[in-house]
Amino acid sequence: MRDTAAQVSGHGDAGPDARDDAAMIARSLHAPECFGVLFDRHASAISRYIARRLGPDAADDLVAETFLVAFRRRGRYDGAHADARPWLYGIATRLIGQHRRDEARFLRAIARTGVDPAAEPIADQVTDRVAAQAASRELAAAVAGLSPAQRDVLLLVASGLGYQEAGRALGVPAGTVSSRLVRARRKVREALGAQDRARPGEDAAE
Amino acid sequence: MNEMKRVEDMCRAALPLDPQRLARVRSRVLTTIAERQQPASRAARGRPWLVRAKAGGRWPSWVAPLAAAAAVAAVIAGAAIVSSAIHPPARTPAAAPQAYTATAAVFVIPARTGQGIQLLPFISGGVSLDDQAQVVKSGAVMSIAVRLLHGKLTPSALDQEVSVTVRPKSQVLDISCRAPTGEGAVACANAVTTAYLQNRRAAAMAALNQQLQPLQSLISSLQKTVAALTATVSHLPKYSPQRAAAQVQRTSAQARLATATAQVAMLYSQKADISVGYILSRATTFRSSA
Repeated sequence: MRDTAAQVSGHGDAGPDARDDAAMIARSLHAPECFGVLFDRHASAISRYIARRLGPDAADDLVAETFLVAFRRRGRYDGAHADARPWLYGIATRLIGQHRRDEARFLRAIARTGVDPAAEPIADQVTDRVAAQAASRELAAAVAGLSPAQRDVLLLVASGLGYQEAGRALGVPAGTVSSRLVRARRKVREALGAQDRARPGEDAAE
Repeated sequence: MNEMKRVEDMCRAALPLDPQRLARVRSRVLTTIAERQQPASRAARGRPWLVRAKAGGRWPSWVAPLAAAAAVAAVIAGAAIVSSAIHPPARTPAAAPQAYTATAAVFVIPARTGQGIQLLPFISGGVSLDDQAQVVKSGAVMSIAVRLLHGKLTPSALDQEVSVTVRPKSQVLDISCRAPTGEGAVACANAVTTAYLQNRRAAAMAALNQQLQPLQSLISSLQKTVAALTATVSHLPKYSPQRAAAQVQRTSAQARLATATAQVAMLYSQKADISVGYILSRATTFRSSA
């Protein structure tokens, strides 16, 4: 299985559409091992997204579940979209939706302790570490205060998806993504307090 | 820093799964996919053609692959007929039946008494578990496993389906079992693992009982000695040298009795709480091993 996957991933004679997710998904209908290529391309990013939302411990199971659900539904994938990331993020988001309580508990724990188990400890200096923990606390509390729909949009866009892509992931129009994002950002800004509110020019500059 | 930048930084700061964990998840996903192929192939493969059939076309698009497949089959059949006419029919081996393998892991603990006396044959220094791998495949363990499986297999037939590997530099045995169904393989691997631990526990119990027997005989004998000496002391005149000597003997016997009783108590407590190993991971998934 791995050999075939290696062939289609570009090491072998894979043809001109080897980097095209849609082509790979279509190929996996007849050669299921090709789905391994899709895993190799996107599993790391999906695991980062899941770890961000539910913590690193939940990532293994949900990454596996995301790709298994994707495999089951690959026959319904819209081949017009070459990039499968939004589709995979959408599946992951729906699976995360089944763990809302865990997500809230995870964010509350960061808000309480300032320690983010999903992130690598970057600050060596004690003062930096204290500042980073304070920032994590505030931000986790702010994100925890969002509605699930707002949180989905905010974290999908912050993870690198555009409005169209986030809309595809969530099955809503880009306009809905935009309006939810505006509301989410406003709530986070308000929660973060006067420090950010005192600099309104940043939004306009974006 | 504005709020969006901060949220983006928070997302970027999250660590993806490390390569080892990712490889494990990959293997899990692809194994599950491979397992699903057998039942899913007939139903799922045809569907995309049906979904994408062009409504305006004269023939639906699935006709072409079917026609192509029929043409290929016809060519192959024709070639086979011609070949059989030229050559006598060769006897081909029957296709190997589908088989599945599941694996459970067991952590083996050296069974020792409180004084560090080794109860069961075990590795020295925790280097090799090869002997224990042989014990797993022993008739005793296979008999227990057959009982646990309520199956019609004989212990020797089951032995053919079981394989044991020792994880290097560890005290872990991976016990794998092959069966015609995935569920059967899972049940088999778990049953053999349980049987191994039951057998090992029974062996440790037997070793404890072996230590208990002489101690219990000694206690019984010492109790009689103490009783006899007590009777002797009561009949001897006070302050007589004979009485003093009997008292010294009785004190000595009582001390030995106390020691033996303490040892028996300790062995009984070990019997109640003996640990010879535990299942590190039960078999839950299976893989095709035709």
